[in-house]
Amino acid sequence: MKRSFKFIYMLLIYCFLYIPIAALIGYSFNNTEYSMLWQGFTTNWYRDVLHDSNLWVAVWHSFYLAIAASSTALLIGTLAAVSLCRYEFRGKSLLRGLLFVIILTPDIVLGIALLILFSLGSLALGFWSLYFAHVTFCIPFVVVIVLTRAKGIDPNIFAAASDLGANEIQLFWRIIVPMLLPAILSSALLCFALSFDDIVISYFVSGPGFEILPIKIFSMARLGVSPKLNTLCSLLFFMTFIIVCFSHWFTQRRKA
Amino acid sequence: MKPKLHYFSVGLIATWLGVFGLLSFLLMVVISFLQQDPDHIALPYFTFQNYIDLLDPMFLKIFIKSFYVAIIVTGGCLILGYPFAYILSRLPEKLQNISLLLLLLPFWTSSVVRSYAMMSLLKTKGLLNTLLLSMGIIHQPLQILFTPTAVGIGLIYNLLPFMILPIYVNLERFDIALIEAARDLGAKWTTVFRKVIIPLSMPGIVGGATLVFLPSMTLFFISDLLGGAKSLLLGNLIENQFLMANNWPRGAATSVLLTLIMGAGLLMYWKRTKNKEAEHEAFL
Amino acid sequence: MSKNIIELHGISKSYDGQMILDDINLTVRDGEFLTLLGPSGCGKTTLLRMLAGLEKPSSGKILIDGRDAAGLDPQERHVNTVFQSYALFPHMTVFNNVAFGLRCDGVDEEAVKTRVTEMLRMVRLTGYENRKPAALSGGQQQRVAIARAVVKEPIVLLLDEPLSSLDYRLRKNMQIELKELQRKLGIAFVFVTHDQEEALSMSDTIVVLQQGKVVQQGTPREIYENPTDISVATFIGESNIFDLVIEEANESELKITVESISYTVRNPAHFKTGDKIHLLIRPEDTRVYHRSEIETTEGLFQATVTQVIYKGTTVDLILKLPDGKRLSATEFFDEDNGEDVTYTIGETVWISWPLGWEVVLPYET
Repeated sequence: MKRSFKFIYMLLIYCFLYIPIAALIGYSFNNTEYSMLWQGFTTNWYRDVLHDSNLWVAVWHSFYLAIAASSTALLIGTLAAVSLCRYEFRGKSLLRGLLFVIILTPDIVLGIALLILFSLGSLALGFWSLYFAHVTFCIPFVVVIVLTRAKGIDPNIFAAASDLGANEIQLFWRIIVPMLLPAILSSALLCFALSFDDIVISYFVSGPGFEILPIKIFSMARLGVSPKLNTLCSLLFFMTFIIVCFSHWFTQRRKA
Repeated sequence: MKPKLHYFSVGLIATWLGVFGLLSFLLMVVISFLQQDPDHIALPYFTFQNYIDLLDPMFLKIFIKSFYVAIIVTGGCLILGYPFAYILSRLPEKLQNISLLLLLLPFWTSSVVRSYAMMSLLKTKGLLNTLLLSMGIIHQPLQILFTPTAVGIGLIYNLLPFMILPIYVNLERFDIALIEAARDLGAKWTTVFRKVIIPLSMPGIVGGATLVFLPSMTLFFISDLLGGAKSLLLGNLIENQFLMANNWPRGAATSVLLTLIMGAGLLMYWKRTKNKEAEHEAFL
Repeated sequence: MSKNIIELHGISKSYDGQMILDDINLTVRDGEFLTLLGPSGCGKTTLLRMLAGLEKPSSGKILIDGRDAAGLDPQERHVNTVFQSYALFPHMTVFNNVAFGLRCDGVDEEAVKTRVTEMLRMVRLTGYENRKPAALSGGQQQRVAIARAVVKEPIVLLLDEPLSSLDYRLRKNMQIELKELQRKLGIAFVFVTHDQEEALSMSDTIVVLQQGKVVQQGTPREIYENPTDISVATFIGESNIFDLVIEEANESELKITVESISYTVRNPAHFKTGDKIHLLIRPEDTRVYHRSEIETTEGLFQATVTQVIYKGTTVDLILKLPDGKRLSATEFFDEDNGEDVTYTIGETVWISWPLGWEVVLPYET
């Protein structure tokens, strides 16, 4: 294949991926409510979004849900990964199988399964139902990422630590956690993003009392395109791009 | 040895996944065999009715449509994604990293946000129509939004990386010497592609197809946003049973069916890759 | 007579029905350098890990310093290990690696600093305190691993093939350093290796393990000069082996024929007439003469030189007997007796050995 062909092909795919986003960002600065034609530059929509306290409540909800869910998933997942790596126990393959199935199950199935569980258990849909659901779908990702890293560690390192007098707790905090830190950090980032962005599962297990951002955007989008939504989405893109590029730069620098 | 921490960790995850994973799935299966009642979740009478209902022509039509969409989307992702994955895997490492970052960057935002972006691009007075009209390629705005085509585009837009990544990982691993050997033996470029590269990247293709096919039957919100009122996907069917028709047993039965389709797909995948254990191991 | 610091009684270990260690009885005396020698897969590392408490025996009893170690976790034993891969903590500095064990015991920082500094001085790593293990050479990492284990003042130091990943020269130096360290510390070392040369040069006692069993235990000299069976003999050092049948035997002497020449050798172990035996002659005990060097060829047999390998201090010869059998011989440059050690390929030479230096072992298939 010719070089130029390769270049053009990649460019086209990137265009496909980025044009909708670029257009959205463009519109968010367009000084008109209805037309898609350029009517001049404005930041009015941004002012609108920034002053919409309803929106910020949803952002705040999503944010602390994501923090709560990912830290819980991180704790449970890391402990589980360490156990899966270091110990033999009954039901180990069942546990692995379950993690595997949860990753592959379509979100919608997990969503309605949890909805049924919460309804039968009379748990009101709100923060807690969302929290349990998000922790559940985040755990397998933490386990996979941390376990992959843990398996790369020389098992003699653990043996050496206990040989030198470390008990299980000391071994965990002084050896395992520091050595797994890169994997823990990247799964933290992934969990936060998964939780912050999730729509399918949240759609089933959220209640009117606790509105989160993706659900809010979904219900706004169902009513049609609006400049305010354009602006909100653009802001989210900016935020994501900054965070992802920063963390990429950070990991590259660590490697170097 | 007294690994107390280990009992604590295993107990913790076993309890969590036992309740929220296993128990909830089991309850879903149980509900799918119970009688429907509009005022309750279900009535405690055993019945196959919910599964028999799914054979109703109205539902069958949705199944077939959803399958059709999923096949088109999977095919579309493969056609767009395979060459991309191939080119990507042959780039110098530095360029590869940046290209991957660029590929994945949009996917760190919510898929609702991305679907909304696609929605505003495709709408009658959207950028696409405005551009095409002003360039004189079309004389009337195209009605793309709220058609199955828009749903297809939206699904491909959302699922493309899930096709590209497994193929890329697969292609990146395999030895370029194989291609050179085939070329050396006098094979034409097209022959090399057909007989060497495609068969060798088959696990990646199957993996990618699995990751695209299932979601493209279930991502109901994309169909809600881009397909308008028409329920196109199996996901919409489930959504409606739960949130509109209030027929949970039937919704549960649909989900069980979906899970079975997933199970069948996985089984096929495992049979293909033969070495089950290794594959499992590699995944976890 | 120093006391026994470790005693193993009837230790066995099996994995999935496969016997790794079979009825091991062993004692380690205070201050001795004991080597577990054997080919890979003989169970020596498993045995070492058992002493460390990292593995449990399937049956049998381990006494450490007179205490039954069955219920003791690794952290409760006064035994520390130097691992083959060093297993240094990659995220810690050299200082923190060495300090790790002391800190786990809750030693106060003041004392930690003194002891770690002293320990690093002892292994000549002063000035490297703040380096990470990745920034050290193989030999330096090795010394950190030793310091880290020794700083805990164990009663026994276990070393699992600690020198195997070093290059030849470094390995030689480390052998001397380890030996010196052991003398300075005065504690027992249990050293695992598959390298017989290393075992012979460092140990007070060698325990030869094969297929999970102790086949011989003794000083390096006993092991080398009086191997108790053919597997030990062939594993340790090279040997020329003749398979023979005893023609006549009494309590003290055996009559045998080697290459058509009759010899009478000492009967070491009640062999009887008609017993099949292996006769072992070490290459350095094999004497090779030019025809001009000897007056008579009586009691000597003939061979042809097929290879000459010059080794600096010795010349190694590969010889072929008339029946096609190969022998090896090592000749030392000895300026005093004026022996001629220049050989040419194809030359006919005459072979003998000092009677009594041979080893006679029962025949094994």
